[in-house]
Amino acid sequence: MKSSTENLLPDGFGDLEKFVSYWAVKGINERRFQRCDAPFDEIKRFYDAMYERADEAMDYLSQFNLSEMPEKEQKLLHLVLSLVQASMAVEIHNESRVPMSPWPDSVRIRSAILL
Amino acid sequence: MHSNFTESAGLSKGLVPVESYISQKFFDLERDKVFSKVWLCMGRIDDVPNPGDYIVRDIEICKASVLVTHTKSGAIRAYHNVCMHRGNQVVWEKKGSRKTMFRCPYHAWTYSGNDGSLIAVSDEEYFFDLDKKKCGLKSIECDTWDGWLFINLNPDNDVSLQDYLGGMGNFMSGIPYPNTQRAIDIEAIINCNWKVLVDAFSESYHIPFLHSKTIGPSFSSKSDPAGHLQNLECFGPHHSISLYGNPEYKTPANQKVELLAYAGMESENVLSAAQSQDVEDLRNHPAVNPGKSKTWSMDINEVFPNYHIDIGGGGFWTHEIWPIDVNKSRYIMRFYVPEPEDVRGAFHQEHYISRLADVVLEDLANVERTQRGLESGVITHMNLQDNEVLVRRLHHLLGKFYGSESLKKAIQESA
Repeated sequence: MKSSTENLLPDGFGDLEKFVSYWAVKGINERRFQRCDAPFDEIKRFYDAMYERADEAMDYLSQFNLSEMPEKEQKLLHLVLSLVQASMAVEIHNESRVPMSPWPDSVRIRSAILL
Repeated sequence: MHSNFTESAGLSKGLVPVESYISQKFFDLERDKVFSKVWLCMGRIDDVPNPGDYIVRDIEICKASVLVTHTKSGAIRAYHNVCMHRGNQVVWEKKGSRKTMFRCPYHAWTYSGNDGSLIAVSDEEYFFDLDKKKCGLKSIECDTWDGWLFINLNPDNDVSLQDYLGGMGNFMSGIPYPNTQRAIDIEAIINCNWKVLVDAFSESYHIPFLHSKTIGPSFSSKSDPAGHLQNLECFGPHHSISLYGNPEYKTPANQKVELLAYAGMESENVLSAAQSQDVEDLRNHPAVNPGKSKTWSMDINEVFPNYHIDIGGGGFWTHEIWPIDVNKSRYIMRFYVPEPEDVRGAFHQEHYISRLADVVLEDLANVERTQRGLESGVITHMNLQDNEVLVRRLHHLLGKFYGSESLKKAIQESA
Protein backbone atom coordinates (compact mmCIF):
# COMPACT_ATOMS: atom_id res chain seq x y z
CA MET A 1 0.00 0.00 0.00
CA LYS A 2 1.28 3.42 -0.91
CA SER A 3 1.42 6.00 1.81
CA SER A 4 -0.42 9.21 1.11
CA THR A 5 2.77 11.24 1.34
CA GLU A 6 4.63 9.37 -1.37
CA ASN A 7 6.14 11.27 -4.31
CA LEU A 8 5.86 14.68 -2.74
CA LEU A 9 9.57 15.27 -3.33
CA PRO A 10 11.75 15.25 -6.45
CA ASP A 11 13.14 11.91 -7.64
CA GLY A 12 15.99 10.64 -5.52
CA PHE A 13 14.81 12.21 -2.27
CA GLY A 14 12.11 9.68 -1.42
CA ASP A 15 13.83 8.75 1.84
CA LEU A 16 12.81 12.19 3.18
CA GLU A 17 9.09 11.80 2.39
CA LYS A 18 8.25 10.92 5.97
CA PHE A 19 9.38 14.38 7.09
CA VAL A 20 7.33 16.35 4.58
CA SER A 21 4.07 16.64 6.47
CA TYR A 22 5.67 18.18 9.56
CA TRP A 23 8.79 19.94 8.31
CA ALA A 24 8.08 21.12 4.75
CA VAL A 25 6.44 24.32 5.88
CA LYS A 26 6.39 27.69 4.16
CA GLY A 27 7.62 30.69 6.15
CA ILE A 28 10.47 31.11 8.61
CA ASN A 29 8.12 31.75 11.55
CA GLU A 30 6.13 28.64 10.78
CA ARG A 31 9.27 26.51 10.51
CA ARG A 32 10.50 28.00 13.75
CA PHE A 33 7.22 27.24 15.49
CA GLN A 34 7.33 23.65 14.24
CA ARG A 35 10.81 23.24 15.67
CA CYS A 36 9.92 24.79 19.01
CA ASP A 37 6.82 22.62 19.31
CA ALA A 38 8.50 19.32 18.43
CA PRO A 39 9.94 16.92 21.00
CA PHE A 40 13.74 17.05 20.96
CA ASP A 41 14.08 13.39 19.87
CA GLU A 42 12.01 14.06 16.77
CA ILE A 43 14.02 17.13 15.93
CA LYS A 44 17.19 15.08 16.28
CA ARG A 45 15.84 12.34 14.04
CA PHE A 46 14.97 14.85 11.33
CA TYR A 47 18.30 16.65 11.79
CA ASP A 48 20.32 13.45 11.37
CA ALA A 49 18.46 12.31 8.27
CA MET A 50 18.26 15.73 6.65
CA TYR A 51 21.87 16.66 7.27
CA GLU A 52 22.98 13.60 5.31
CA ARG A 53 21.07 14.84 2.26
CA ALA A 54 21.44 18.61 2.68
CA ASP A 55 24.43 19.21 0.42
CA GLU A 56 22.96 17.05 -2.30
CA ALA A 57 19.55 18.70 -1.99
CA MET A 58 21.07 22.18 -2.21
CA ASP A 59 23.14 21.20 -5.25
CA TYR A 60 19.99 19.91 -6.89
CA LEU A 61 17.89 22.95 -5.94
CA SER A 62 20.50 25.45 -7.10
CA GLN A 63 19.34 24.96 -10.69
CA PHE A 64 15.93 26.45 -9.80
CA ASN A 65 14.95 30.06 -9.24
CA LEU A 66 14.13 30.50 -5.54
CA SER A 67 10.83 32.26 -6.13
CA GLU A 68 9.58 30.03 -8.94
CA MET A 69 10.22 26.51 -7.80
CA PRO A 70 7.91 23.69 -8.88
CA GLU A 71 5.87 22.19 -6.07
CA LYS A 72 8.10 19.19 -5.31
CA GLU A 73 11.24 21.28 -5.35
CA GLN A 74 9.58 23.81 -3.07
CA LYS A 75 8.83 21.06 -0.57
CA LEU A 76 12.47 19.98 -0.66
CA LEU A 77 13.56 23.62 -0.18
CA HIS A 78 11.34 23.89 2.90
CA LEU A 79 12.86 20.71 4.30
CA VAL A 80 16.36 22.11 3.74
CA LEU A 81 15.43 25.34 5.52
CA SER A 82 13.83 23.41 8.37
CA LEU A 83 17.20 21.71 8.87
CA VAL A 84 18.48 25.11 9.97
CA GLN A 85 15.69 25.27 12.55
CA ALA A 86 16.50 21.78 13.76
CA SER A 87 20.15 22.80 14.09
CA MET A 88 19.23 25.59 16.50
CA ALA A 89 17.83 22.93 18.83
CA VAL A 90 20.49 20.28 18.25
CA GLU A 91 23.67 22.35 17.85
CA ILE A 92 22.97 25.26 20.17
CA HIS A 93 20.33 24.70 22.83
CA ASN A 94 20.37 20.93 23.23
CA GLU A 95 16.64 21.18 23.64
CA SER A 96 13.77 22.21 21.38
CA ARG A 97 13.97 25.91 22.11
CA VAL A 98 15.75 28.61 24.07
CA PRO A 99 15.82 27.35 27.65
CA MET A 100 13.76 29.27 30.22
CA SER A 101 12.17 31.52 27.62
CA PRO A 102 8.55 32.48 27.04
CA TRP A 103 6.65 30.59 24.39
CA PRO A 104 4.86 30.19 22.02
CA ASP A 105 4.95 33.47 20.19
CA SER A 106 6.50 36.30 22.10
CA VAL A 107 8.96 36.89 19.26
CA ARG A 108 7.80 37.10 15.66
CA ILE A 109 9.83 37.39 12.50
CA ARG A 110 8.32 39.49 9.74
CA SER A 111 9.60 39.46 6.21
CA ALA A 112 8.11 40.76 3.01
CA ILE A 113 9.50 37.81 1.08
CA LEU A 114 8.15 34.49 2.16
CA LEU A 115 10.11 31.38 1.29
CA MET B 1 46.00 49.16 32.98
CA HIS B 2 42.53 49.10 31.50
CA SER B 3 40.76 52.10 30.03
CA ASN B 4 38.22 53.92 32.11
CA PHE B 5 35.30 54.80 29.88
CA THR B 6 33.13 55.97 32.76
CA GLU B 7 35.68 58.56 33.78
CA SER B 8 36.43 59.68 30.23
CA ALA B 9 32.68 60.23 29.69
CA GLY B 10 32.68 62.54 32.71
CA LEU B 11 30.36 60.33 34.72
CA SER B 12 30.38 59.69 38.44
CA LYS B 13 31.15 56.17 39.62
CA GLY B 14 28.51 56.02 42.32
CA LEU B 15 25.45 53.86 42.67
CA VAL B 16 22.60 54.51 40.21
CA PRO B 17 19.02 54.59 41.55
CA VAL B 18 16.51 52.19 39.94
CA GLU B 19 13.32 54.07 40.79
CA SER B 20 12.84 55.34 37.24
CA TYR B 21 12.34 51.76 35.98
CA ILE B 22 9.28 51.22 38.12
CA SER B 23 7.81 54.64 38.83
CA GLN B 24 4.84 56.18 37.03
CA LYS B 25 6.13 59.61 37.99
CA PHE B 26 9.32 59.04 35.97
CA PHE B 27 7.37 57.49 33.12
CA ASP B 28 5.24 60.64 32.91
CA LEU B 29 8.40 62.76 32.93
CA GLU B 30 9.85 60.66 30.12
CA ARG B 31 6.70 61.26 28.09
CA ASP B 32 6.61 65.01 28.75
CA LYS B 33 10.32 65.83 28.70
CA VAL B 34 11.72 63.23 26.33
CA PHE B 35 9.40 61.49 23.86
CA SER B 36 7.12 64.50 23.33
CA LYS B 37 10.11 66.77 22.74
CA VAL B 38 12.92 64.95 20.96
CA TRP B 39 13.34 63.88 17.35
CA LEU B 40 12.27 60.25 16.98
CA CYS B 41 13.49 57.94 14.25
CA MET B 42 10.71 56.28 12.24
CA GLY B 43 12.96 54.13 10.07
CA ARG B 44 14.58 54.65 6.72
CA ILE B 45 13.42 56.56 3.66
CA ASP B 46 13.54 53.16 1.97
CA ASP B 47 10.44 52.29 3.99
CA VAL B 48 8.56 54.74 1.71
CA PRO B 49 10.68 54.53 -1.45
CA ASN B 50 8.16 55.75 -4.04
CA PRO B 51 5.63 58.57 -4.36
CA GLY B 52 2.34 57.32 -2.92
CA ASP B 53 4.05 55.06 -0.36
CA TYR B 54 3.12 55.48 3.28
CA ILE B 55 3.79 53.96 6.69
CA VAL B 56 1.98 54.30 10.00
CA ARG B 57 4.02 54.24 13.20
CA ASP B 58 2.65 54.13 16.73
CA ILE B 59 4.25 56.13 19.51
CA GLU B 60 2.26 54.65 22.35
CA ILE B 61 3.72 56.72 25.17
CA CYS B 62 2.44 59.89 23.46
CA LYS B 63 -0.78 58.19 22.31
CA ALA B 64 0.28 59.17 18.79
CA SER B 65 -0.28 57.39 15.51
CA VAL B 66 2.00 58.92 12.88
CA LEU B 67 1.29 58.74 9.17
CA VAL B 68 4.42 59.26 7.06
CA THR B 69 3.87 59.79 3.35
CA HIS B 70 6.02 60.13 0.26
CA THR B 71 4.22 62.77 -1.81
CA LYS B 72 3.82 63.09 -5.57
CA SER B 73 6.39 65.86 -5.57
CA GLY B 74 8.93 63.63 -3.80
CA ALA B 75 8.70 65.20 -0.34
CA ILE B 76 8.38 63.18 2.87
CA ARG B 77 5.57 64.44 5.11
CA ALA B 78 4.17 63.35 8.45
CA TYR B 79 0.71 63.81 9.95
CA HIS B 80 -1.23 62.77 12.98
CA ASN B 81 -3.26 59.81 11.79
CA VAL B 82 -6.44 61.31 13.24
CA CYS B 83 -9.54 62.25 11.27
CA MET B 84 -10.48 65.87 11.86
CA HIS B 85 -14.17 64.88 11.87
CA ARG B 86 -14.61 62.75 14.98
CA GLY B 87 -11.13 61.53 15.67
CA ASN B 88 -10.99 58.07 14.20
CA GLN B 89 -7.75 56.86 12.68
CA VAL B 90 -7.78 57.64 8.99
CA VAL B 91 -5.35 54.91 7.93
CA TRP B 92 -5.75 51.47 9.44
CA GLU B 93 -3.04 49.60 7.53
CA LYS B 94 0.56 49.81 8.77
CA LYS B 95 1.95 50.46 5.31
CA GLY B 96 0.92 50.75 1.71
CA SER B 97 1.62 52.24 -1.67
CA ARG B 98 0.06 54.13 -4.58
CA LYS B 99 -2.07 56.34 -2.36
CA THR B 100 -2.90 59.77 -3.69
CA MET B 101 -5.54 60.32 -1.01
CA PHE B 102 -6.52 58.91 2.36
CA ARG B 103 -10.20 58.25 3.07
CA CYS B 104 -11.29 57.78 6.66
CA PRO B 105 -13.27 54.51 6.75
CA TYR B 106 -15.73 55.91 9.33
CA HIS B 107 -17.56 58.61 7.31
CA ALA B 108 -15.38 58.85 4.18
CA TRP B 109 -13.77 62.20 4.89
CA THR B 110 -10.97 62.28 2.32
CA TYR B 111 -7.56 63.89 2.63
CA SER B 112 -4.93 64.66 0.03
CA GLY B 113 -1.90 62.40 0.11
CA ASN B 114 0.15 65.38 -0.97
CA ASP B 115 -0.49 67.99 1.68
CA GLY B 116 -3.02 66.42 4.06
CA SER B 117 -5.73 68.91 3.11
CA LEU B 118 -9.35 67.84 3.42
CA ILE B 119 -10.50 67.42 -0.17
CA ALA B 120 -13.90 65.77 0.14
CA VAL B 121 -16.62 65.33 2.75
CA SER B 122 -19.49 62.94 2.16
CA ASP B 123 -22.96 64.43 2.41
CA GLU B 124 -21.28 67.78 2.92
CA GLU B 125 -24.40 69.94 2.48
CA TYR B 126 -25.83 68.65 5.77
CA PHE B 127 -22.96 70.18 7.80
CA PHE B 128 -23.22 73.62 9.37
CA ASP B 129 -20.63 76.20 8.29
CA LEU B 130 -17.97 73.53 7.70
CA ASP B 131 -14.69 75.19 6.74
CA LYS B 132 -12.76 72.43 4.99
CA LYS B 133 -9.63 74.58 4.82
CA LYS B 134 -9.36 74.33 8.60
CA CYS B 135 -9.81 70.59 8.66
CA GLY B 136 -6.67 69.23 7.02
CA LEU B 137 -4.73 66.47 8.76
CA LYS B 138 -2.63 67.90 11.57
CA SER B 139 0.94 67.90 10.36
CA ILE B 140 3.99 66.75 12.29
CA GLU B 141 7.49 68.12 11.77
CA CYS B 142 9.50 65.67 9.73
CA ASP B 143 13.06 65.62 8.43
CA THR B 144 15.66 63.18 7.16
CA TRP B 145 19.32 62.54 7.88
CA ASP B 146 21.45 60.22 5.75
CA GLY B 147 18.44 58.17 4.72
CA TRP B 148 16.94 58.05 8.23
CA LEU B 149 13.47 59.40 8.77
CA PHE B 150 12.69 61.45 11.88
CA ILE B 151 9.64 63.21 13.30
CA ASN B 152 9.16 65.60 16.19
CA LEU B 153 5.81 65.61 17.97
CA ASN B 154 6.30 69.00 19.62
CA PRO B 155 4.37 71.63 17.63
CA ASP B 156 6.56 74.32 19.25
CA ASN B 157 9.86 72.54 18.61
CA ASP B 158 12.73 74.93 17.92
CA VAL B 159 15.63 72.48 17.56
CA SER B 160 16.42 71.30 14.04
CA LEU B 161 17.16 67.63 13.42
CA GLN B 162 20.71 68.60 12.50
CA ASP B 163 21.18 70.40 15.82
CA TYR B 164 19.57 67.54 17.68
CA LEU B 165 21.97 64.99 16.20
CA GLY B 166 24.90 67.39 16.52
CA GLY B 167 28.26 65.62 16.54
CA MET B 168 26.62 62.22 16.13
CA GLY B 169 25.27 63.36 12.76
CA ASN B 170 28.73 64.41 11.60
CA PHE B 171 30.37 61.31 13.00
CA MET B 172 28.05 58.90 11.16
CA SER B 173 27.58 61.03 8.07
CA GLY B 174 27.88 59.19 4.77
CA ILE B 175 27.92 55.64 6.07
CA PRO B 176 27.19 53.51 2.98
CA TYR B 177 24.44 51.33 4.47
CA PRO B 178 24.11 48.17 2.38
CA ASN B 179 20.90 46.31 1.51
CA THR B 180 18.58 49.09 2.66
CA GLN B 181 15.77 47.93 0.40
CA ARG B 182 15.12 44.69 2.23
CA ALA B 183 14.38 44.56 5.93
CA ILE B 184 13.36 41.67 8.13
CA ASP B 185 11.81 42.49 11.49
CA ILE B 186 11.72 40.68 14.77
CA GLU B 187 9.00 42.24 16.91
CA ALA B 188 7.82 41.61 20.45
CA ILE B 189 5.75 43.22 23.19
CA ILE B 190 7.72 42.94 26.41
CA ASN B 191 6.64 43.33 30.01
CA CYS B 192 9.36 45.67 31.15
CA ASN B 193 10.24 49.33 31.32
CA TRP B 194 11.71 50.64 28.07
CA LYS B 195 15.03 51.48 29.72
CA VAL B 196 15.55 47.86 30.79
CA LEU B 197 15.48 47.02 27.07
CA VAL B 198 17.75 49.91 26.10
CA ASP B 199 20.19 48.74 28.77
CA ALA B 200 20.11 45.17 27.46
CA PHE B 201 21.27 46.31 24.04
CA SER B 202 23.80 48.84 25.36
CA GLU B 203 26.40 46.68 27.03
CA SER B 204 28.43 43.60 26.19
CA TYR B 205 29.16 42.55 29.78
CA HIS B 206 26.26 40.08 29.65
CA ILE B 207 27.04 38.48 26.29
CA PRO B 208 29.53 35.76 27.32
CA PHE B 209 27.16 34.70 30.11
CA LEU B 210 23.55 35.11 29.03
CA HIS B 211 24.32 34.18 25.44
CA SER B 212 26.95 31.58 26.28
CA LYS B 213 25.64 29.13 23.71
CA THR B 214 24.33 31.39 20.95
CA ILE B 215 26.75 34.27 20.34
CA GLY B 216 28.94 34.33 23.46
CA PRO B 217 31.87 32.47 21.86
CA SER B 218 32.00 35.06 19.07
CA PHE B 219 32.14 37.99 21.52
CA SER B 220 34.66 36.71 24.05
CA SER B 221 37.82 34.63 24.10
CA LYS B 222 40.41 33.13 26.41
CA SER B 223 42.43 36.34 26.25
CA ASP B 224 39.34 38.52 26.91
CA PRO B 225 36.75 36.33 28.63
CA ALA B 226 34.48 39.27 29.44
CA GLY B 227 34.61 40.78 25.95
CA HIS B 228 35.51 44.30 27.04
CA LEU B 229 34.43 47.47 25.23
CA GLN B 230 36.85 48.57 22.55
CA ASN B 231 35.82 52.20 22.22
CA LEU B 232 33.36 54.87 23.40
CA GLU B 233 32.29 58.07 21.66
CA CYS B 234 29.84 60.55 23.20
CA PHE B 235 28.00 63.28 21.29
CA GLY B 236 25.53 65.21 23.44
CA PRO B 237 22.74 62.79 24.33
CA HIS B 238 23.89 60.26 21.73
CA HIS B 239 26.75 57.80 21.95
CA SER B 240 28.53 54.93 20.28
CA ILE B 241 30.42 51.92 21.61
CA SER B 242 32.47 49.25 19.90
CA LEU B 243 32.33 45.65 21.07
CA TYR B 244 35.00 43.01 21.27
CA GLY B 245 35.02 40.21 18.73
CA ASN B 246 36.89 36.97 19.07
CA PRO B 247 39.28 36.91 16.10
CA GLU B 248 39.91 33.24 16.71
CA TYR B 249 36.25 32.27 16.60
CA LYS B 250 35.68 29.15 14.58
CA THR B 251 32.45 27.26 14.40
CA PRO B 252 32.89 24.12 16.52
CA ALA B 253 33.23 21.02 14.35
CA ASN B 254 30.10 19.40 15.76
CA GLN B 255 27.95 22.35 14.61
CA LYS B 256 27.68 20.80 11.20
CA VAL B 257 24.72 22.78 9.91
CA GLU B 258 26.26 26.06 11.01
CA LEU B 259 29.44 25.11 9.14
CA LEU B 260 27.36 24.34 6.08
CA ALA B 261 25.50 27.65 6.38
CA TYR B 262 28.68 29.68 6.69
CA ALA B 263 30.74 27.71 4.14
CA GLY B 264 32.25 30.17 1.71
CA MET B 265 31.58 33.15 3.99
CA GLU B 266 34.57 35.38 4.52
CA SER B 267 34.03 35.57 8.27
CA GLU B 268 32.52 33.00 10.56
CA ASN B 269 31.45 35.69 12.99
CA VAL B 270 27.82 35.02 13.78
CA LEU B 271 26.83 38.52 12.75
CA SER B 272 27.98 38.16 9.16
CA ALA B 273 24.84 38.72 7.16
CA ALA B 274 26.49 39.06 3.84
CA GLN B 275 29.73 39.64 2.09
CA SER B 276 30.31 41.87 -0.86
CA GLN B 277 31.98 45.05 -1.96
CA ASP B 278 29.14 46.93 -0.22
CA VAL B 279 30.21 45.50 3.09
CA GLU B 280 33.84 46.34 2.36
CA ASP B 281 32.85 49.98 1.77
CA LEU B 282 30.88 49.96 5.00
CA ARG B 283 33.89 48.73 6.99
CA ASN B 284 36.08 51.47 5.55
CA HIS B 285 33.92 54.31 6.89
CA PRO B 286 35.72 56.14 9.74
CA ALA B 287 32.72 55.78 12.07
CA VAL B 288 32.78 52.01 11.68
CA ASN B 289 35.17 50.52 14.24
CA PRO B 290 36.23 54.10 15.04
CA GLY B 291 38.88 52.95 17.51
CA LYS B 292 40.41 50.75 14.79
CA SER B 293 40.45 47.82 17.18
CA LYS B 294 41.99 44.63 15.84
CA THR B 295 39.53 42.67 17.95
CA TRP B 296 36.35 44.43 16.82
CA SER B 297 33.00 42.82 16.23
CA MET B 298 30.43 45.62 15.98
CA ASP B 299 29.43 49.16 16.86
CA ILE B 300 26.32 50.17 18.76
CA ASN B 301 25.32 53.69 17.73
CA GLU B 302 22.58 55.01 19.97
CA VAL B 303 20.42 57.87 18.81
CA PHE B 304 18.82 59.16 21.99
CA PRO B 305 16.53 57.96 23.40
CA ASN B 306 15.39 54.73 21.76
CA TYR B 307 16.99 54.02 18.38
CA HIS B 308 20.14 51.95 17.96
CA ILE B 309 21.94 51.67 14.63
CA ASP B 310 24.25 48.67 15.01
CA ILE B 311 26.95 47.99 12.46
CA GLY B 312 28.93 44.78 12.19
CA GLY B 313 31.37 43.34 9.71
CA GLY B 314 28.53 41.96 7.63
CA GLY B 315 26.02 44.77 7.57
CA PHE B 316 23.76 46.80 9.83
CA TRP B 317 20.62 46.36 11.89
CA THR B 318 18.54 48.49 14.25
CA HIS B 319 16.86 48.18 17.61
CA GLU B 320 13.80 50.32 18.40
CA ILE B 321 12.35 50.45 21.86
CA TRP B 322 8.96 52.08 22.35
CA PRO B 323 7.52 52.62 25.84
CA ILE B 324 3.88 51.62 26.20
CA ASP B 325 3.51 51.70 29.96
CA VAL B 326 5.87 51.94 32.89
CA ASN B 327 6.34 48.17 32.69
CA LYS B 328 5.43 47.42 29.08
CA SER B 329 7.33 48.15 25.87
CA ARG B 330 7.39 47.34 22.20
CA TYR B 331 10.64 46.15 20.72
CA ILE B 332 11.62 45.85 17.08
CA MET B 333 14.88 44.55 15.71
CA ARG B 334 15.15 45.22 12.00
CA PHE B 335 17.94 43.85 9.92
CA TYR B 336 18.80 44.69 6.41
CA VAL B 337 19.91 41.74 4.34
CA PRO B 338 20.23 41.12 0.62
CA GLU B 339 17.68 39.02 -1.18
CA PRO B 340 19.10 35.48 -1.27
CA GLU B 341 20.17 34.57 -4.77
CA ASP B 342 19.95 30.83 -4.47
CA VAL B 343 19.21 27.99 -2.09
CA ARG B 344 22.56 28.28 -0.30
CA GLY B 345 21.98 31.99 0.23
CA ALA B 346 18.53 31.25 1.63
CA PHE B 347 20.02 28.56 3.89
CA HIS B 348 22.59 31.00 5.27
CA GLN B 349 19.95 33.67 5.84
CA GLU B 350 17.61 31.25 7.60
CA HIS B 351 20.49 30.45 9.96
CA TYR B 352 21.44 34.08 10.51
CA ILE B 353 17.89 35.21 11.25
CA SER B 354 16.89 32.21 13.33
CA ARG B 355 19.90 32.48 15.60
CA LEU B 356 19.29 36.19 16.10
CA ALA B 357 15.64 35.49 16.90
CA ASP B 358 16.81 33.06 19.58
CA VAL B 359 19.35 35.57 20.90
CA VAL B 360 16.56 38.13 21.12
CA LEU B 361 14.40 35.58 22.92
CA GLU B 362 17.20 35.09 25.46
CA ASP B 363 17.38 38.85 25.96
CA LEU B 364 13.64 39.34 26.17
CA ALA B 365 13.04 36.59 28.69
CA ASN B 366 15.86 38.13 30.65
CA VAL B 367 14.53 41.69 30.69
CA GLU B 368 11.12 40.58 31.93
CA ARG B 369 12.81 38.83 34.84
CA THR B 370 14.84 41.96 35.47
CA GLN B 371 11.70 44.10 35.58
CA ARG B 372 10.06 41.74 38.07
CA GLY B 373 13.17 41.86 40.21
CA LEU B 374 13.25 45.63 40.15
CA GLU B 375 9.55 45.84 41.02
CA SER B 376 10.14 43.67 44.07
CA GLY B 377 11.88 46.67 45.60
CA VAL B 378 14.76 44.55 46.85
CA ILE B 379 17.37 46.73 45.24
CA THR B 380 17.10 50.50 45.23
CA HIS B 381 20.39 51.18 43.44
CA MET B 382 22.61 49.49 40.87
CA ASN B 383 26.33 48.84 41.01
CA LEU B 384 27.55 49.36 37.47
CA GLN B 385 30.97 48.49 36.12
CA ASP B 386 32.97 50.31 33.48
CA ASN B 387 31.70 48.22 30.56
CA GLU B 388 28.16 49.20 31.52
CA VAL B 389 29.02 52.84 30.93
CA LEU B 390 26.06 53.41 28.60
CA VAL B 391 23.59 52.16 31.20
CA ARG B 392 25.01 54.73 33.56
CA ARG B 393 25.09 57.42 30.90
CA LEU B 394 21.43 56.94 29.97
CA HIS B 395 20.42 57.73 33.56
CA HIS B 396 22.78 60.68 33.59
CA LEU B 397 21.23 62.04 30.37
CA LEU B 398 17.65 61.44 31.47
CA GLY B 399 18.44 63.34 34.66
CA LYS B 400 19.28 66.35 32.48
CA PHE B 401 16.05 65.97 30.50
CA TYR B 402 13.76 65.45 33.52
CA GLY B 403 14.73 68.79 34.97
CA SER B 404 15.09 70.78 31.79
CA GLU B 405 12.58 73.34 30.59
CA SER B 406 13.31 72.82 26.90
CA LEU B 407 14.95 70.42 24.48
CA LYS B 408 17.53 73.06 23.65
CA LYS B 409 18.57 73.33 27.30
CA ALA B 410 18.61 69.57 27.78
CA ILE B 411 20.94 69.11 24.81
CA GLN B 412 23.25 71.84 26.05
CA GLU B 413 23.40 70.17 29.42
CA SER B 414 24.05 66.74 27.88
CA ALA B 415 27.25 67.91 26.23
